[in-house]
Amino acid sequence: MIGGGVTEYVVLMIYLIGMIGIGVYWAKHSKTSEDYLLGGRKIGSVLTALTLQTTSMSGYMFMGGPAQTYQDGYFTLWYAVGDGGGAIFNVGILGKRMRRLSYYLGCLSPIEYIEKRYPGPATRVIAAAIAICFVYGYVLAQFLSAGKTMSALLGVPLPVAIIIGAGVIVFYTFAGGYLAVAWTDFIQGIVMVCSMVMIFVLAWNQVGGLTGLNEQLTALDPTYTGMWGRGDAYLGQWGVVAGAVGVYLIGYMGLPHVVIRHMAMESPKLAKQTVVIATVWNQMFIFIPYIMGLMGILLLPQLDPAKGGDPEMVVLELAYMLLPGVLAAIVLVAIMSAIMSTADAQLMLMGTMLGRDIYQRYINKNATDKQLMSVSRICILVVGVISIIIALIRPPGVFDLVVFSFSTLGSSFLPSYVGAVWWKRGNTTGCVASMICGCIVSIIWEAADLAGPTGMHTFFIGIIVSIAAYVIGSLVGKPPTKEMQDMIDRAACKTKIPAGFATVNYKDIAPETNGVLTFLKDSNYMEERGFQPV
Amino acid sequence: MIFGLEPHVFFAFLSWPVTYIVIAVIMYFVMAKHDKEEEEWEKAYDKWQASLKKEGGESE
Repeated sequence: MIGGGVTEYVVLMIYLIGMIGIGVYWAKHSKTSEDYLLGGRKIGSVLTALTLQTTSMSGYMFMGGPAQTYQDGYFTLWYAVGDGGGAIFNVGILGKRMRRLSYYLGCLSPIEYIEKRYPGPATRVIAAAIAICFVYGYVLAQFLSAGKTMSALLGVPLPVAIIIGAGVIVFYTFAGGYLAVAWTDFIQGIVMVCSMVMIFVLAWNQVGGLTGLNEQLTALDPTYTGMWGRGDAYLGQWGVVAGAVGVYLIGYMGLPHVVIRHMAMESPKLAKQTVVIATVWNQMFIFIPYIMGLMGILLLPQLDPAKGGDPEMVVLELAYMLLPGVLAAIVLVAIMSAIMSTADAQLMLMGTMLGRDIYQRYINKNATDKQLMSVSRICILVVGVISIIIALIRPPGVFDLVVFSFSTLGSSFLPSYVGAVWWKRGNTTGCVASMICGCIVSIIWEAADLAGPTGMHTFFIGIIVSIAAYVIGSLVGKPPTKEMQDMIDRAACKTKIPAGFATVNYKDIAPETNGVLTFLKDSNYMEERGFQPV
Repeated sequence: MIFGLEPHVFFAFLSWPVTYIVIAVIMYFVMAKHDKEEEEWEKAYDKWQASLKKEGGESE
């Protein structure tokens, strides 16, 4: 146990009370179901960027990532290469168009969005079933991570740690809804990145900068600084490299709890700022933990698993080695932040799906706004409590649960979300085929443990099959209605407008002339005098 | 050697943070340009829709 002192308890309690306070504050500001479920679609660019990225990054970045680099050397950075560019793809491809289309379709949940874009009785049932099952698996894994982290670091028994850690997440999500989740994510994102940068700068000096680090690693074992892992374990395996990069580069576009952030943006125009903020944040937060794993090889040789050490403790051990007590305790808070920012988003999505996609759709079609909000709240509470009970009674393995849930969700939904705004031909048949094939292949691949023998990551094979099913299904099935195609065109600002309504903008004439033409057009001067537009 | 790494290893792993930031900044300007065009398109679209409504109202 690293922490366990009074300082850690005090800092953690202040943090947890702060999170509860945010939940209570926003509870008063959520007046409609749109406020509660999507923050009233008034989330600005900074908040969108940070909530998008902190939701995507779980406690894995503080523990799993650095531990992997500690053992495999530079090879693990292939994951960082993919992850670092994830925001560019996610916001650049989906951001603006998904925000517009979801607004035109009047959707409050990512499953409702799928159903309205791909209308049909099977769509919502299949989408909701897959999302609820696997997002639930994700929630459970995050609750367990929160409990295990608190227990390991503070020395409290695991059941107590799970109840406290998960209880706080459930409370503020239940009370404050999307706005509480977004604002806690914002604070958590700042704590996460500041902690990482703080330790990184100090460790950087200890190892003699990047050159010092690499030279010492090469002297220790040249394959640490090679491209193929320690002992060249992955020599020539480009399929594994492509999978590692591709999974995180595009995978987030298939996660409902991540893409819902696009729907909550205040305006599609904020996407451009969001890309820059999220990408800069990514470079600070993603590459640093992996490189700290490398620094750990030199500074903390005792963590080598061969010597009975636990490399997952690299970041924490570095924090306690390099930082004074209070700042080291803040790193504990940062780890809890990473876990909580992912868990709250998933819990919020569970409430949204159960309230909007199940209750309002099948149980009470005429539910009022207030009823919908209350049901979503109750669902969050019930799911939270059930998850805590399962985590206490029969906890599954965290890592396997996360990988499995991520792969299945990504494989099932990615083609449908991307195709929804980029391919007018994409239709219900394609969507249903893609969800079923992606989900089933992922489950079979994972259950039969085929990733090892075939050298193909579960997500990689799942997404290939899912995309193929989407394309074939869309080409075979009936095209979307004319209204839907028009709406997709409108979301892409591609609807053809009759010449008489197009805004005048002649680039090759003087601004004064342009102004005169605009005046003539806007004032209908020409039409009033019987001139026809050319 | 670049920072103690073989050049191909350096470019494979550590050139990306700068590359991604540059791409994001370029994207910002490209998206800003699109925003302007889309804004004009939206104005024209609204005007067109308003005229359609007006015509519909008149015919009623």
